[in-house]
Amino acid sequence: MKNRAKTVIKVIVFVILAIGLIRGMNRLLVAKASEIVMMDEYLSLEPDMVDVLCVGSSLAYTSCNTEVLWNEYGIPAFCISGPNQTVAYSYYYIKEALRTQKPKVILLEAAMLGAVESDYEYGNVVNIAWMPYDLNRYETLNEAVYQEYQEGLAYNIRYFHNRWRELTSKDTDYLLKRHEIHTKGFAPWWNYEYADDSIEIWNTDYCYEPGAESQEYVDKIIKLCENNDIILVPYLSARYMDEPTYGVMNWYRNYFAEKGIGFVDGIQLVEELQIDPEIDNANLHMSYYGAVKMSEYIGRYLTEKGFVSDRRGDSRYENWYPDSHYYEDTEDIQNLVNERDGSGYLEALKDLPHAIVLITCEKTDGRELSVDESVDKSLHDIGIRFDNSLDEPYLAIIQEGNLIFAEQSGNIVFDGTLQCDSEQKIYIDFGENRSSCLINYKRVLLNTNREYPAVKIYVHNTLSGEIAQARRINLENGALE
Amino acid sequence: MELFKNLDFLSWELYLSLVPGILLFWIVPSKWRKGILFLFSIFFYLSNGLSALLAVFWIGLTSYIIGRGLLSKKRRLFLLVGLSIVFLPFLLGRVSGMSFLYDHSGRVRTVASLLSCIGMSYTSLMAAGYVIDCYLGRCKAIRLFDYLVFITFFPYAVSGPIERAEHIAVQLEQLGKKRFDMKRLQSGAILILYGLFVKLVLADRMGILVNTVLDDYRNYIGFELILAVVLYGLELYCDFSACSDIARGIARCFGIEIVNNFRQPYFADNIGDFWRRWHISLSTWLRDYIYIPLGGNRKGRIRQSLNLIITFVVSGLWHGFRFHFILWGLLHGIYQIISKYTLNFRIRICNILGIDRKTIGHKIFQVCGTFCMVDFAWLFFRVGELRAVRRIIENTVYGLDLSFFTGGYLGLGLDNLEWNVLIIGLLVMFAVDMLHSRYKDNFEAVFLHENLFVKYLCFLGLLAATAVFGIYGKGFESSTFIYRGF
Repeated sequence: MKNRAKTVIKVIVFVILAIGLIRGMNRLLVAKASEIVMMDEYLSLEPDMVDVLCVGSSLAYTSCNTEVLWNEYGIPAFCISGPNQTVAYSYYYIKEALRTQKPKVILLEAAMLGAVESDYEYGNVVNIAWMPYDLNRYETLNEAVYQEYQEGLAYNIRYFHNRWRELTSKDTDYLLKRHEIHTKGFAPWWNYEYADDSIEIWNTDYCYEPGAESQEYVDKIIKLCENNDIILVPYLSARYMDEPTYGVMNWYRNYFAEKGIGFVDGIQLVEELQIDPEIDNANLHMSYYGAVKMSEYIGRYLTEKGFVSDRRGDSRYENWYPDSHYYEDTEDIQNLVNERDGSGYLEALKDLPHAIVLITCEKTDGRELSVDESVDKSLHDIGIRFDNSLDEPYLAIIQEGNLIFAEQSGNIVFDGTLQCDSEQKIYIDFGENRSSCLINYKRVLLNTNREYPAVKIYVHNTLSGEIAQARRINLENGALE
Repeated sequence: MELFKNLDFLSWELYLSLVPGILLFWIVPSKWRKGILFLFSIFFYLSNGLSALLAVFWIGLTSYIIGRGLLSKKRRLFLLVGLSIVFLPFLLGRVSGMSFLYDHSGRVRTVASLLSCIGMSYTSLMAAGYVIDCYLGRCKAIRLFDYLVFITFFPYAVSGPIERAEHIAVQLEQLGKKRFDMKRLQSGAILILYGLFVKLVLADRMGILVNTVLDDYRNYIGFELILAVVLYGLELYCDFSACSDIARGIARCFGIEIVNNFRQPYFADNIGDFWRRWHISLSTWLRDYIYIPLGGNRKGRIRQSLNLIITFVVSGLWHGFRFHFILWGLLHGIYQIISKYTLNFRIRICNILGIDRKTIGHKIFQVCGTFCMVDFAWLFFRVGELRAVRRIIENTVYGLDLSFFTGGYLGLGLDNLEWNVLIIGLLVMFAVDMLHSRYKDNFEAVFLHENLFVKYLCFLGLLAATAVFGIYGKGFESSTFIYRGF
């Protein structure tokens, strides 16, 4: 009997350890880009704090500026959305969200209402990756995830296990605690390079009926809102939309009207909001600047309708948004970064006579990216690895205050201990100790009169404006000092 | 999401269903255990399609009736019924459920293609072994249900080993008397985990490089080709022995011991020794049912050589009705003959040169030599065409370039990090093989006597290493077991 009890205890301990290990690895390896971890941050909130919940595709997290909603109107809002989040995903996201919060309003970015499933792999991955392992996730997997990806995404480690190659301290930080950057789900686009030319303002008098499944999920969302005394506010971002999709939006506009649900159509509001596509749009999304305008309108709309009240005086919300000026404060720096030729940024660093400046773009999915081999190999020697399949970061070399080399190349990851992510910019200062480095297999001479054995690398945090890390790399033996 | 479809050793659904399956097996009254085993096997085959189940039943019933006939006094009657059953499905072929007998164009498959299309070559060899044993009177009568449990037992359905009816039947008789033993379960589980580690972390990782180079051998030279061929030999071993370990582990969890198919074959110091260590169940099958009946070594040197050649050609043919498999078998037959007839000569040379054959140095030399010979033969096995083998040899000889060692090896599909994982993994496997060798293949038993901390560390370490470093999931569709194709 005693032996049997011992055996049972051993088995239980082993099972607990094994489950703990798998869960730990699962959390360690899953990608942690800002638009992916929204759900994690959401689940870390105290219960019943969120008044406005925003769901939808990337158009939601780029247009719903939760900073503005709080700073201007005192609305505690949170955005749990994901790239290509279909209406089916949105439904299950709302179901998940209602387990811990009782929002008064659900803002539903409507552009994806016509789509029940999407074969966009990244979208599928992002939307399910951080959902907790419960029945709702299982339903999401079966109903919303594109069939081809269902098996792979049943458990995150199956999909993400190969990220062991690129783990950083950020990943280990996540092991024991939830998401740290409190941006309430808002993930703006800053990039001017993809500024849109125009926004077509279509008529509202034509309709294309969406598929039955899409209507079914919209009905489910409406019912879910009714059952939980939540006001549903579908809205459209003020950005370019093609004519057939807008036809579906018109159909839903009428459908919502029949149900007594208001519809905020950003496209019809372009003139009223003074949206300038070149500034306020970015690659068919709203840019940060557009999101400010859109969110100011939404905040005013919700307040005037009496759907929400100002919570700023409420003691429960004292610590609601400690980083409530996070994006506002970085606007100037972002402006520099977004400049196509980087000259403004270089100007800010002009006191460095000899430098390599590496300006990274956001690595949006946390996955291993393909590499521009030539750049990668040439910088590998000095401990830097380039990945560039997604965006085009900026590389520049300054010699004696003059820009002598500029190339848009790739995302940057430091080998070993130095890391770079979207919040950091990196430059390598040659200072007095370096004469050259290799770019594209060619040795770029910075100063032919000098021969020095080492290079200094500074990790420059553009958000704080301070040097975050400084390392010296001995180029003769590759040692990081 | 479709669950429980195409179950095999790499599908997580199998392990998901094994947990309740094993629990149920040990919880139910002991007389039901065989039934649970049988039902689980049917479930396994059904997940791979009704055709697979029908085929295994067809083979099982046919061989059982013929076998019983051979053991009975009413031989003719049983043989008649047995042979009728062999051909019955072809007559009933158009009836629903018998479609596995026909190819895409609706023609009846040949027996060979039938067996290969349903992956039954292991099952058919087991059935044939039973019939021959009955014919030779080496086998006792087995109950039909026990025989069906034996022939359908799913762990060896994927890639063997080729079991003997007698060996399993004895265990099935004792199954009801067995008590649940935690240590047996632990030992089964560690075998499964180790098998998955070797397959997913090592075999499939080496497979990336091997496929990169050998699928496009015209564009590779020198050491690149040598490395690919060496790794192919290791890949094959890892792949096949992993499958065997998983099969043994699963069977052990159900209280059944199946034969160990491998005994560190690359530690062999001559070709004969290699074949006593590699795919042991097939080697012994061929020895017992082909080589010895042909006369073995009892009828003079020439007949023995001929028998060896025939046996190894049959071995090649078992892998597929292709010329390169015959060549591979032939090469091994020739190796065996040369090895036997040059033994005295080699000993004499050693004596003349004053080489002590008992030194470790000589042993290592022999092991390396054997590996080189075996590995060269694998080349025929892998690339398929004689022309391709010639081209690979030419590219190797004319393209030897030392720059390979200063980073050239990194351009073959594995980068530095992958190499690190592979080398550490191979060292782990080498250490385990050494321990197996030292403890006479009873390493699991030694492991079980370790303290709890070590056991937990091994289990969890293997679990974590396989989950993280395994080649599987999106972007790495893990290849099926190589030997499943045979």
